[in-house]
Amino acid sequence: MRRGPATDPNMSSRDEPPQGDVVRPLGVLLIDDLPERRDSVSRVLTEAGYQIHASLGSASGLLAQLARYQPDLLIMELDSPDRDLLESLTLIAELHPTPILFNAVRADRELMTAAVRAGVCAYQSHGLDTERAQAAIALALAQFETFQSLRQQLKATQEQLESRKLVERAKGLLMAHQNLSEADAHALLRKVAMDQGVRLEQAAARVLNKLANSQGAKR
Amino acid sequence: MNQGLTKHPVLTLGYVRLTDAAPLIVAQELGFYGKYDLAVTLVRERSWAGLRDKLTVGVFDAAQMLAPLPLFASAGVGSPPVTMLSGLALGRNGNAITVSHALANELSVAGCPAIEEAQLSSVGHALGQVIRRRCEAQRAPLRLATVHPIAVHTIQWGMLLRAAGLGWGDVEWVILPPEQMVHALRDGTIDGFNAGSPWFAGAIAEGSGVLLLTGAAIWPDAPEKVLAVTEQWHGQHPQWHSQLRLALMDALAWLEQPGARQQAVEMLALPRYLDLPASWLRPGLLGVDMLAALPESRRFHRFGIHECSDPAACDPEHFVSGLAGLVDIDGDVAKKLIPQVYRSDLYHASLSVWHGEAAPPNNACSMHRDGANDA
Repeated sequence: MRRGPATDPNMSSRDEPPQGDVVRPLGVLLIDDLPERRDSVSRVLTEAGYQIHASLGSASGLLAQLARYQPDLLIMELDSPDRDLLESLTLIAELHPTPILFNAVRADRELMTAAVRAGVCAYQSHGLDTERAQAAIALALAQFETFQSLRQQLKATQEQLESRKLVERAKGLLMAHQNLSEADAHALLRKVAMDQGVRLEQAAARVLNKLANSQGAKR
Repeated sequence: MNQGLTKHPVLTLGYVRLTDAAPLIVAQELGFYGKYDLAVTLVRERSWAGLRDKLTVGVFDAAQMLAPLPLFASAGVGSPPVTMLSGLALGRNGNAITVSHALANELSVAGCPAIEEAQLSSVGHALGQVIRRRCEAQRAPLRLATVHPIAVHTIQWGMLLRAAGLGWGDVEWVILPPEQMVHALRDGTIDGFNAGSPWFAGAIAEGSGVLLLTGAAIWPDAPEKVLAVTEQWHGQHPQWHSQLRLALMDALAWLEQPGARQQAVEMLALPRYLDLPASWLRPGLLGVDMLAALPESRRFHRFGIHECSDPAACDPEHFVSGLAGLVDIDGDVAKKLIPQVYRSDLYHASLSVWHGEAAPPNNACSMHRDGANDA
């Protein structure tokens, strides 16, 4: 009952790599749902002489994409829901009519740690020179890392802003309810924070909660 | 963020969008981590491979994991070899095979019984008929989905195919994360899937699928998820690991108490956890609605802290034999690794501590009584 190898017209029509001294540029399939990051990875790799077969926002129809482009290297965001599908290709390759890939960073623990932390994964075809693949991965990884740190900075800034807003609101309410000056309201918040062993914005949140509850109780 | 202010270590735990993440989530909601001096951040992960990679490199301290995965990861099958271990299993059963309406009709014509009477042999027989007929008619092979190659879900599909007299190569395999199954079944990418709750309930609620057979009807009381850590992390933080197991034992025992599952449904449905309709979570956790008429409905998810949660009692040899021919692992390597990975000693050490010090009153584990989950 086992079926014969699947025949995909795209697979046979694929151009053979040129023989001789010309080294065929490494073909990369890029999948990332963040357009800015995808573009910057694509640009950096193109500048370095890699050929971007396709740059996609989602891995939907991944098997068809692989059969169509036959990439030497696949670079994809780690959190893609298609990670498990890709991994299955490396595990049970004979069941899929697609090129055989393997996880390109798994052999190098340091590289793998950096890649997972930056949120990127890479798969390369068998027979591809590992050094050529790693050079491309290193370039992509650097872009992912830059975006990661930008994102973290943005998150930290937003959190700071939120904390500040919370403290201002608590101070405002304390000033209104307890007839305090701004300096006294601030001092009171600081004291609450010190007494309860929490940060200033946590104390502010507690004060806001308490005032809201007491208001609710009055009604 | 609050690392500087609390004396508790802050652990990051990964989980997947499934009702059997319940122990990790209720422990957070009920303050069980804090009770054992831990603070925990729960992170929902989209793929099993991503979860395993983050555990491997230390982004996660510990994670809910497919029971067979730590063994294969330790052997370096499908991932860089990194020794993982589990000192606590997180439950039994919880999967269900769901098929498209079109496949359900074909199966029904082939004599497949309705879900109330469905058994491995009768469903397998009908599935065999359907696959053979499709082959004779030169139709496309069935596309069946599992959540990861190295999963009990895959083993259950394999058992069903063997009951049909067929093997791995007689269908086309598709690997999708659980949360993508409903969509893939609806758009016809796949003909059927085996995934954990609540995705069968989601497919049925959306009108895109029919329940064919529960995992429990194929492999009764199959081990499903375990709490996994790397051996390195365990070596560095044995005390944290122990505190974590105790907190999760509280959760596992709580989940078997009368009325607890109903509350768990509400907790899991919250936007910060599974973020899904409570109506999707009820069948699996309570054994009601589309599961109500099944003999195994009350055992659909088994939690509790007795034999269910000893990681070594989960038949790890069957992970190896059940996947043979699809994902192979060296038999001698597996034999050597099994006692290192599924750590009965850690479980029993925690169990004595839990019974001695931590047991809340009136928490007799009800695993031996059927219907204990008070649906």
